[in-house]
Amino acid sequence: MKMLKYLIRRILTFLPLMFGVIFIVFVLVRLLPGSPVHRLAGTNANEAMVEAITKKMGLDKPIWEQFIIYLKGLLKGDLGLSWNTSNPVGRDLLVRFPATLELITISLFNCLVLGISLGAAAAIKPKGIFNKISNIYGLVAGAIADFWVGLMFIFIFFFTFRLLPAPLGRLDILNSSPVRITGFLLLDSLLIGDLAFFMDAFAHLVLPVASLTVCFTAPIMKMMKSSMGEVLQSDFIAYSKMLGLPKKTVTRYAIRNAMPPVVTMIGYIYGFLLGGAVLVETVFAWGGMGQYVTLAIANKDYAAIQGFMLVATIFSMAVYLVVDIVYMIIDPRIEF
Amino acid sequence: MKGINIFFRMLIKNLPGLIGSIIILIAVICALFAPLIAPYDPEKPITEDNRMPPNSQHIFGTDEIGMDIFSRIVYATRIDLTIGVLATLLSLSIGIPIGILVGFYEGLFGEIVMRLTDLIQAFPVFIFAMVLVAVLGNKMENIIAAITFLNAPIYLRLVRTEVLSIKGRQFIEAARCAGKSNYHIMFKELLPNSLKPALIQASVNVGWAILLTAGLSFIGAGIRVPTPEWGSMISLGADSIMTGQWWSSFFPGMAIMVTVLGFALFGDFLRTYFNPERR
Amino acid sequence: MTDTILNIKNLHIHFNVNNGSAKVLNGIDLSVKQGHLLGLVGESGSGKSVLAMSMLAYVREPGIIKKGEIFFDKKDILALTEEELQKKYRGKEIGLIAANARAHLNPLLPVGEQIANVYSAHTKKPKKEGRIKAVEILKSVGINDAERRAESYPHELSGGMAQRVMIAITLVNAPRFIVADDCTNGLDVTVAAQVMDLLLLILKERESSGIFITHDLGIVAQCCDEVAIMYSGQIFEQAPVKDFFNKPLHPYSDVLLDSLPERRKAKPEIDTIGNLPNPLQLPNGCLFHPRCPRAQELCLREKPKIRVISPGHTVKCHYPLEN
Repeated sequence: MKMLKYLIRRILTFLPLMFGVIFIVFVLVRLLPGSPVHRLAGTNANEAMVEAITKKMGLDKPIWEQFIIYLKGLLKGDLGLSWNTSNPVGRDLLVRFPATLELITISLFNCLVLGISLGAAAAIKPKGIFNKISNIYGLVAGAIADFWVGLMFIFIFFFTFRLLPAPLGRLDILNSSPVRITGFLLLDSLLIGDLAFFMDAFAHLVLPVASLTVCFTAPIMKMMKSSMGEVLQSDFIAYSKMLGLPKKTVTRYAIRNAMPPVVTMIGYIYGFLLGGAVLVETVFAWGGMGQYVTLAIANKDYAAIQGFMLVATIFSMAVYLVVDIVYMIIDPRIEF
Repeated sequence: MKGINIFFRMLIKNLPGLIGSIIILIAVICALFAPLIAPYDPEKPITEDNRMPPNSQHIFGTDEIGMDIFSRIVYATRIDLTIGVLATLLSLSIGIPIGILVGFYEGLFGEIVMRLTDLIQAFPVFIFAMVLVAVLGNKMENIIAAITFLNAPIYLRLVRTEVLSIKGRQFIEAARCAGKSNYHIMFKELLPNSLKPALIQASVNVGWAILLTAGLSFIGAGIRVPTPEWGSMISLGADSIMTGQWWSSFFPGMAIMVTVLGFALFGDFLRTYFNPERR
Repeated sequence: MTDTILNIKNLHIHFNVNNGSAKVLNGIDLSVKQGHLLGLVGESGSGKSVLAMSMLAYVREPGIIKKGEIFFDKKDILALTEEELQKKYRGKEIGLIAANARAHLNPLLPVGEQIANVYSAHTKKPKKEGRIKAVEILKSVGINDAERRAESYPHELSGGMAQRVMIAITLVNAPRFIVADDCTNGLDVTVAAQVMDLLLLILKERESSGIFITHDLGIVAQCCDEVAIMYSGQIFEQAPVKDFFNKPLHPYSDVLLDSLPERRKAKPEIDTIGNLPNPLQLPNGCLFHPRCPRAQELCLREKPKIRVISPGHTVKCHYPLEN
């Protein structure tokens, strides 16, 4: 099967890249100023304590040995221990991954729907008011900081109008998450049939999702507009009209043919958002991956940083792979 | 001289481009003449007057520590603008020559360079920037270095693609037949043609660099308080939003928006300028 | 007296470009009788493709129709709305076969599906039937293994096969009038001949009328009933084929005929006459006068009007050739 061969080829080229990433991060974190040992030991530690802690953290061994040990651990699925939370990094990430993923996936979905429809509408009527509005939106959206948008939304919708809850996490403080099936609160609440829980999770999602949507719809919209604009100028669209195909069909043809670069852009944004959503996560105290790694960097928590980078890179690579496959499905001219 | 005349004449007729240029000009003036424009010291709090809304004495209000927001915004141009422009210029200077070399020679050297850029671009951008700055230290020079490092691959790829597509064209063959050296071909023929898309991209990238700096500073991974920088100013005001003091975060955010917009508008104008068919 | 199926009257189409207005069609007067095939001959850049598309009442941006009417079955199709044109005329009564088939087909859909869509759009029949009809019509244009070929994408087809697909997609709804714009361009000689034969066969079978656009007078001589000569957006001469080749009236027609092998034997030197005028800056008076060996003072001032010299033979010239 061609597809299988292609997948294997992709995974094989991905492995050296993965290795490069792990290696570079491994070295980088050890270049962070300050010593994690002293952070953990505190200011009053004596020599003996420092030595003991250094040994416990495995930092007494030479670097290449530390690296081998880490790699061995990876092969067993062990990402190491977080010195900050005292949990296995794997578990820490597993707890926080759904929070971030839920946020960025819902946001991306909105961006996709809005971006494609607005972009298509603007391309179809290039002299219309729609196009002018989308031009202005595109310029402005590319110039605003998503965390600033989040803060402004909080001011308007929480403080001024009291429409939405305070930015203190994914749920009301009085509600602890009753059940944890998938970690995706909207899904979990539906699975256990708890409507109040669903509404609570939903209400808390509105503003952070809105902030990301406002900022990231623009690049997708712009790509769709330019791609579709080009397609609409093409010979085959002109010919489709001359064949007497109805407007609906011609538009359908144009949208479909404009999709490939848009799909690539969507994939790139999705990969970017895993780490890039950290700012919005911070504003809304979301408890996601971004905040975890920010804290880890401040605390020189080596394993946590390495673990995050590993997961994030695998995620991006997986997204790019899916994007490429979708591209190949849409466009039969591309060969495996 | 004639080329520059045409440039300015076109600029004046292009309203968005003109607005963009004026915004950039204002930002540069603020950076150069900050002490003359800002009414207060950007790092000394006016102790009793903290958390004051915009009024006649402080047109943008004061922040949590009592510093005048307007003055800090003006002074912050020195940081944000410098980082944005310098980082972009450095990325261009590094990315473009390497891109031309790689595009021209291809071969093993090219492959290795491309794999390295793949590697750099595989990292989650924002977190990678955070780690780099943390390793190097939260100083302006280091932020410039980190952003340069992250952005150079973009220009490298862009220019390489241009070179690969132009390489086969007839005027290059003609130059070769005329006996021109490789060096001449690369830098007299290929470079000018590849430069256009790079410059258009650069204008937009200055905006991105500013946003990245602001983002890093916002979560404490960039410029540290109390140095005036738009992102860290927003973070100072973030907690007060919940109690209704909007001005602390609003104005720095607007400053970012206006400045980045200015560069984006200028970039759009450059696109029109470099593409005669679209004029 | 056979009826006129298509009658173009004084058609002017201009294109707005940055440095002015390109006058591509400058008063086209052309008519085609029912059941006839008219060969339209002209150099590259004379506006042939724009004229071809205008017969479907279609103009590509940034063109506009300045003046004129196109009567199909006595109805001015330029006065119709887009919707009426889409529903009743384009692809249904009038069809266009263009050159370079692959550029005109949707690259992302199998050709069978594209044909089926065109069929269903006009007949409102369900998709399934459309697919069957598509295979049928692919067979009728001489594509063996039509069932499998219907699933092919345009880029997988050879030039000749793509051209056949284009013929199929145009003819699936059996339009009564067909415009073939240079449709053998870029094809090998043998393939071109096959495509021509196919087209003529179908036209004869269905008793359709049509215009065949080309710069090859030889094909016109062999296959068409009438011929029209186009120059810089105008029709200089129109005549039944025999009349034209025996007794051409316009000086330009004379020059074109000089390129035919028979003539060249008699006249080893060809007068070189330069290029078509720039549509942005057309000359005053007769558009041909700068290149015309017979130009006189009147030609520089006044545009010639249509003259009927003999039945069915018209010319736009102040001083037509006499033999």
